[in-house]
Amino acid sequence: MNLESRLARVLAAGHFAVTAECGPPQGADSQPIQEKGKLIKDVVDAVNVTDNQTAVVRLSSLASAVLLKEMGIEPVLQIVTRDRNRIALQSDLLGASALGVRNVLCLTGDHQSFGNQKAAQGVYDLDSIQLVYAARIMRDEGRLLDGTRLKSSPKLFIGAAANPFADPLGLRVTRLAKKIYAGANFIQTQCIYDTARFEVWLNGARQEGLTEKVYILGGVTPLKSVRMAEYMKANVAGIEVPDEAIKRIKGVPNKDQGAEGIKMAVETIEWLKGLDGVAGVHVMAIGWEEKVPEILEAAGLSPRAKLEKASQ
Amino acid sequence: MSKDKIRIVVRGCHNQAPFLTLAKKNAPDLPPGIELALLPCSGKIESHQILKFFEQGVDGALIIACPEGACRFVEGNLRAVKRVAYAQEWMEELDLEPDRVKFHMLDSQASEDINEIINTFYSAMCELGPTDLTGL
Amino acid sequence: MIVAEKKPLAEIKASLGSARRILLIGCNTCVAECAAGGPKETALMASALRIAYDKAGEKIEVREASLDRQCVHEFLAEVGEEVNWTEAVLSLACGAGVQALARFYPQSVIIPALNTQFIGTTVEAGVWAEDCSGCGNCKLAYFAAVCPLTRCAKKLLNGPCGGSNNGKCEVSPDLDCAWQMIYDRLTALNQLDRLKEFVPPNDWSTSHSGRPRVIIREDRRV
Repeated sequence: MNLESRLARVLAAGHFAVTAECGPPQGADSQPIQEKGKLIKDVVDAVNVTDNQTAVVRLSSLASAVLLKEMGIEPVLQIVTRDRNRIALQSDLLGASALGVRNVLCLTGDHQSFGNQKAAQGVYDLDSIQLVYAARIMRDEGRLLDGTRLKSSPKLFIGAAANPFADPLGLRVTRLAKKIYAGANFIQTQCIYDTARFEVWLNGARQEGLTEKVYILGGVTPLKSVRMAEYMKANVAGIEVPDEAIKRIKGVPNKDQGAEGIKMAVETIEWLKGLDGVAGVHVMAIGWEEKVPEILEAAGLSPRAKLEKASQ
Repeated sequence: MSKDKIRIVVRGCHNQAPFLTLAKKNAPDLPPGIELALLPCSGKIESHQILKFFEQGVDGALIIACPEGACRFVEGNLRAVKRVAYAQEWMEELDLEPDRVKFHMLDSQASEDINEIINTFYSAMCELGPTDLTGL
Repeated sequence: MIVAEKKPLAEIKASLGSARRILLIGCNTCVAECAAGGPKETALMASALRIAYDKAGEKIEVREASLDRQCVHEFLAEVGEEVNWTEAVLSLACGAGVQALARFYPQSVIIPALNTQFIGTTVEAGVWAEDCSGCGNCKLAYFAAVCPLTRCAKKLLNGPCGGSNNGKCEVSPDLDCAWQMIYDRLTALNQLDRLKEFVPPNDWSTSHSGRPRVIIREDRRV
């Protein structure tokens, strides 16, 4: 299926996939996204392009995805349901496919109250699972949500997110199952610091046979400092940073905290590589993209080019 | 501003014996411009009544309540304190000093002199001066 | 009930403009229950306006009235004489009441004194919460009588987002996560399996999103 997606091919070939993330700039200039792309171009299989993340207006994710694609980077287009209704969302899925974007990550998105347009109407016409469903029936059945036949179907490798750290824990595996039922081919998780909780979730998924049905990429975000760790713990919705992680990073001098954070990220990746049911890693180095090659190399995941060759 | 022009109203719970006595005597020992009246419970006071006093040209309103835990209607005095606070919010919005409304809960020892409480508030209002409302 | 809150006085004064004969009309139903437009609040607003204009050295005449239901045309004739006297009516009803007055009195200036907020519940004394969006297609039977379209900040129909934390919503720590509530109630009712079903996209055509709605019942028409 969808062999036009490199990410799909890498995963289908059984390789440990590597994706990273690029946040588009708050401006009309194409350069910043291209520069971020350059930093990680050769070390990852695909690059996620965030869609107005934290509800802050940025260069459009589709435009950014195309800019990356022109550089030979395979984009994963993130689409949130917060800002567009089903007419626009389905239209964008068609547009993405026409522009050669082969991977989409369907999300609900951070609430508009977190962003810089707090007076905005939150659309939420669909939720993320319904968007996955729309993408799947458009691709596989050639029809829209209302049943209208499409003249041609979009070619998309469909992704969704999972947050094993959010509550209620009892619904987290249920949500994953629903996303798979709706049509998700791959899952990228929220960044992992609490490995015990992640394993509880992964075991639940395994028991339900879900890891056989979807590729799970574990999320990793290197901590730059104890300040960042504490900030994320206290302020970022859906992220759990255990006290031990904070303690560890606190235990080294300020100037070495970044290096320690990278070390911890590398260890997390090594650990993910050994987990049954995890198919890859998704590195979200927020504003720290230049460190991604170093992290991946230390984790033994470089270079990527060979992997692609092997998978063809 | 001369003291005799200041008008204040005092509303107090009739379950407070000293206030009951004072109100019944019509307060001969107090300066003119002070109007006393009894409430069946301080909780009977409403924010709109407080505002009405000022609309009618009063310069200060003092609400006297029973000590905490001693309200005959259990929580009348606790309701009163919130209504006074709400009236004060309106006063603020109307650019009138919120201090012109005072809620006084008597202490449980009943050792306070009611005349003194009223006199103190009256003096504070004299200090503040009249509102610039015509009260027409 | 329809829950509303008073507007700032400065905004009301600005809306009243040059009107100097003002009729305040409260409503004794929903907005009385939520302490925004009942008789007490009408009296308070009347006093406040008199004070505000007095302070500004301006003369106004304010009258007060109260209707049992401002949103029902049969009650509106009661204040006809007063409305004719006035230069502006300040309605302390919900948005429906304000517009009902305007329909009934096409020649009169009608100004809202309240911001209408939501269809809600008196949860406890002094606390009102939004519970219903009037979507026109009630789904409460599926969600253990907790409305995700209304009570989830993202209107999610297929379970909680990644921001549900200890029963609270990511949007605010004082906001309960609707999906935690649904989860807890379905657990208590032993119907948790229900959450495994995929809920298809909502049909918004029955809601306000479709068009302003009108219901006509021939059996009730005169």
